[in-house]
Amino acid sequence: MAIHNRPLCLLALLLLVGALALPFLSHAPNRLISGQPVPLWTLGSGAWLVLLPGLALLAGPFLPQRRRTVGLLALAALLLLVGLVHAAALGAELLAQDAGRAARTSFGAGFWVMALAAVLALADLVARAGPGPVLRLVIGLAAALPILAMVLSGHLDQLSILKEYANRADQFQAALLRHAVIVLAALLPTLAFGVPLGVLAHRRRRLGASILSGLNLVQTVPSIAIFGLLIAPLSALATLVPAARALGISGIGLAPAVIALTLYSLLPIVRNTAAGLAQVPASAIDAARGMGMTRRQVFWKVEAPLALPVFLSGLRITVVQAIGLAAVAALIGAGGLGAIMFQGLFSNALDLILLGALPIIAFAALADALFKAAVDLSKRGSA
Amino acid sequence: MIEFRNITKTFNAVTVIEGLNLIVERGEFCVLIGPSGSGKSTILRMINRLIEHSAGEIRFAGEPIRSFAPEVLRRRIGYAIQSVGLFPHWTVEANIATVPRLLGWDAARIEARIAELMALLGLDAARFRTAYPHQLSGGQQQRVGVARALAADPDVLLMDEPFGALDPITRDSLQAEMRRIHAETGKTIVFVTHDMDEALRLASRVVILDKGRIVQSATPRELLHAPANDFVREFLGKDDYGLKLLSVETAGAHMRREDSGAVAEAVREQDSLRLALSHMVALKTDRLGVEDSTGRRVGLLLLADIVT
Ligand SMILES: Nc1ncnc2c1ncn2[C@@H]1O[C@H](COP(=O)(O)OP(=O)(O)O)[C@@H](O)[C@H]1O
Ligand SMILES: [Mg+2]
Repeated sequence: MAIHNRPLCLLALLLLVGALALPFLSHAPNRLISGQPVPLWTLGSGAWLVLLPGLALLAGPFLPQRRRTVGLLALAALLLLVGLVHAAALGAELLAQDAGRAARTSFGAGFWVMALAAVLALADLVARAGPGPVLRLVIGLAAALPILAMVLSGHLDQLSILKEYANRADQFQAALLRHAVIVLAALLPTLAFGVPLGVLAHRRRRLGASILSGLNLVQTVPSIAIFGLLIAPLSALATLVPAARALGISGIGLAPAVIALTLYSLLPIVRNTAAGLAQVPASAIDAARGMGMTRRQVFWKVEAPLALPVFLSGLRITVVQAIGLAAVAALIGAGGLGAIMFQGLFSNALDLILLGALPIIAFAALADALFKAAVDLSKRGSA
Repeated sequence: MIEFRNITKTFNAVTVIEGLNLIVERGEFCVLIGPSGSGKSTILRMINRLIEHSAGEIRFAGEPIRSFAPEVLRRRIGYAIQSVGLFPHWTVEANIATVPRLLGWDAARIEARIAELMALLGLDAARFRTAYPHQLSGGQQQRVGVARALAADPDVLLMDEPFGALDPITRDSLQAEMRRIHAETGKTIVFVTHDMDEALRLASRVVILDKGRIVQSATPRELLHAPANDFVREFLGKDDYGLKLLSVETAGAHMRREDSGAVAEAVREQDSLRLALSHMVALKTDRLGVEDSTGRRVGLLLLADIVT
């Protein structure tokens, strides 16, 4: 039998290992005791029937990768992913029937390995089928929305991660909002300074080289070090200037987080603004000037729209990076989902870590998908 | 229409144009030709102030060009370049409409003008109006480039080696279009090339440049019959000099006003003797009929009349 898709072959192997050799869930009578492994086959037919699309993926590597086949396999990977969550929920409900209220059911290694394999298979197959930007977004939503619906409908309530959520719903919602505030607050100065700096870097090549090497240097400093370095000057500022204190500026909290995030975010914005402008055809600019466009018209009608795709891919990097970095900012008291994550880390509560980390990953993935679609759409006409 | 008075241009203390005096009359098809680096593009771009001259005065329509705001001047002067420079993110119609939009024409007038220009340049409006530049061939792109340059009905058209990057067949047909457009619109055209055949074919006047100076300024016929010096002779070439001579003579001017009904093949009055000779060689004959633009026979052309 010929193998037509090597990556998928490896992922199918991973699926088998995850399904047969690793515990699907882990169950403990209460959160202080470490969990007992729960294999997939002990969960009853209801749970593993939803994993049948996985069989298609096992056959997938041996089928010729025609567009239609690849599309169907991608659908199978998508169904498997949703099915895994559903199966975990069913399993948790089953285990909850003969256990106390304090019992905890969490995802086991088998779940994670299969979920990872399903996500990677979906990514590989979608890349092979090469759908347009809008269809790609739809596929992403088709995976995310059923899972979100399960979360909201209470179907997953017996899983420990949602029990952790139920215990601190208010804290979670505040953290979510705070996370978004940190990212958006950093994005505003990043755009306000980054775009003009990028234009400047494009127009003055030598100055641009120094700006970029400076920003590159910032990127090499670990984020935790930047946060630390900002504490002293900002506390000094807050002590010396009452107005700064009145604005809520202090050595820890939102101010240093936003400043640090801005410093990191500048590089991709400045670099991609300059790179976007640099790849605008010189002949188009010459023609635009020669036909009597003013400098401003040349910039807004010709240079800016032609630089937009590259700029947007810089913005994509910036936003995804900022969503991740904002988690680290929790260490200096900025709050956000990172605070929940670290709380779990320090109290050795895996489910709490997940409660902080999974939404961060989901947000980063969502931002990534949205900006990728925006980049593709902005390229129309100039392929 | 355009007048250079003692123009000098220096780039960083290097003089590239020195003491240039040149008058381009209204309706002239003036071709600037010279080796690479002789200053052709610099001269052209000084007219629409993409390059500012260093000394002297350039006049456009009787006024010094510095009395116009650069944008106002440029919107009155069409501009087409070798690399075309179409805006890749705009459709063909949006590209053509560039200057009319800058001038604030109303939508109906722009619509009508786009249709008119696409017809003039032989572009199928149904197919190409809403196409993007990357969907067009090189020749089609340059047709759009020329249409865009003509869009606001400018007084003057500047063209910098517009057909230099095209294959010979496409170039040939675009040269024919330019001749026709010049004849139909009477526009003043300043055209840069380094191809002598193109210059002889298109120009009402050829200006030969070397190192930023005018070596000779003459009609194609004058140039061929009385080259000013060895540089010009060199530039005209030795091997096909005779053919160049034939290329500036028309069949109409050398035919006999005799009945040619007995001769099957014919050329047109305005065709060059070079073309006529080529046909004779290909057809192995020493005579061709001559017809006018309506296809009516008006004379007879003999090989002997071409050669003498
Ligand atoms: N922006 C510029 N800066 C410096 N030198 C230039 C510039 N533009 C043109 N030149 C010089 O001027 C001379 C004429 O150039 P150009 O007008 O482009 O010649 P052509 O179009 O005949 O090939 C060349 O020697 C060229 O190197
Ligand atoms: Mg040139």
